Amino acid sequence: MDYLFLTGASSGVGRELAVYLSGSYNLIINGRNEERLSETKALCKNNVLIWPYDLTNTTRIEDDLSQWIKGNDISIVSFVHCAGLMKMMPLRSVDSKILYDTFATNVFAPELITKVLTSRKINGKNLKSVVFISSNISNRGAAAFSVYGASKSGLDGLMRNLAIELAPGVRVNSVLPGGMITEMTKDLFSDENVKKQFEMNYPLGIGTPADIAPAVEFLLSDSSKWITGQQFVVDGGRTIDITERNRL
Amino acid sequence: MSEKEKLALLEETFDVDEGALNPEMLLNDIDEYDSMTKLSLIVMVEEEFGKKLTGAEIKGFKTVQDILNVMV
Ligand SMILES: NC(=O)c1ccc[n+]([C@@H]2O[C@H](COP(=O)([O-])OP(=O)(O)OC[C@H]3O[C@@H](n4cnc5c(N)ncnc54)[C@H](OP(=O)(O)O)[C@@H]3O)[C@@H](O)[C@H]2O)c1
Repeated sequence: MDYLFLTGASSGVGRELAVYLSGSYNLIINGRNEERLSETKALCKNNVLIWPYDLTNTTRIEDDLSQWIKGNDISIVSFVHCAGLMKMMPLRSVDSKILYDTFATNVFAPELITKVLTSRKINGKNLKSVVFISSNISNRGAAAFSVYGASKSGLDGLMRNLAIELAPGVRVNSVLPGGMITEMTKDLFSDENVKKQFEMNYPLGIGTPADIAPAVEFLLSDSSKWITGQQFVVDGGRTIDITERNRL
Repeated sequence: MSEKEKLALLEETFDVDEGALNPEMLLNDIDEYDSMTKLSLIVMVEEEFGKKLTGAEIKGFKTVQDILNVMV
């Protein structure tokens, strides 16, 4: 069985994806927290290898990942980038550190990882499909989201350009989830008013990581073999709604 | 950190002039104390004091002094 490389697997959506996809793939799971990665591994079927690594280490990641893949002698057919950093921050609080950390995690890392996984020396021509977990903010805007929002737009820009550059060998798409309660958003949702507001704004209600997994599986599989360079919005109808639900 | 330094940090967070804030002021009377300022406050308190303010804590703040009290 071939391997799928999955970042962000220690938490939230990534952990759900690991468990869901472990029926059809062997997995390489990444995050920084080894203990939580081991917990994820224990929930999975098939072979699971753990690669603990801080994705903001952009100067070393290519070499370190290449060595690790060579050392394990594996072939990787799919890559899902689910790791993400989201810090709500008004413009006046933004500094170069948060910009760097956010873009390194959300944009630079997936580009550099895709580079390694499409290197013939490292992974032959094994890579077939890439899915980036973006966000429904990617084509929109919100106050206090300039850093995160710009990074997700950047990620989708990366997705479209790689889709063309890597065709026909590799398909590249992204999934744009809407609000779900995970580690990333639990502080936000701990405010009852915010939660109520979200529930009102989502025609299909607030989602869960389990709602994302089948979309990712579809984009990885041959069922989507004529689809590349696309944003697949999975957000309970949030961003196509033009009615003012909070007035209803 | 002295109270003076804390006030200076808050003035930066509120984006108001130096010396514009004093501990007795009611937050409700300060125009600049809006939702973006509250978010900036969360970021500042986390960065400078390593604490995560909750929505409930923020709702509980009535005066500038209430905020100074958590800046430890
Ligand atoms: N939750 C939502 O409402 C929502 C909505 C739209 C889009 N999304 C997107 O969905 C994805 C997953 O989000 P989530 O809600 O599951 O968030 P989460 O629970 O906070 O998980 C984030 C994951 O990213 C990993 N990560 C963060 N920084 C890293 C770094 N420097 N190096 C390596 N790994 C790093 C974390 O691993 P470690 O902590 O172990 O390093 C963790 O596994 C993200 O891309 C997010 O932007 C989420």
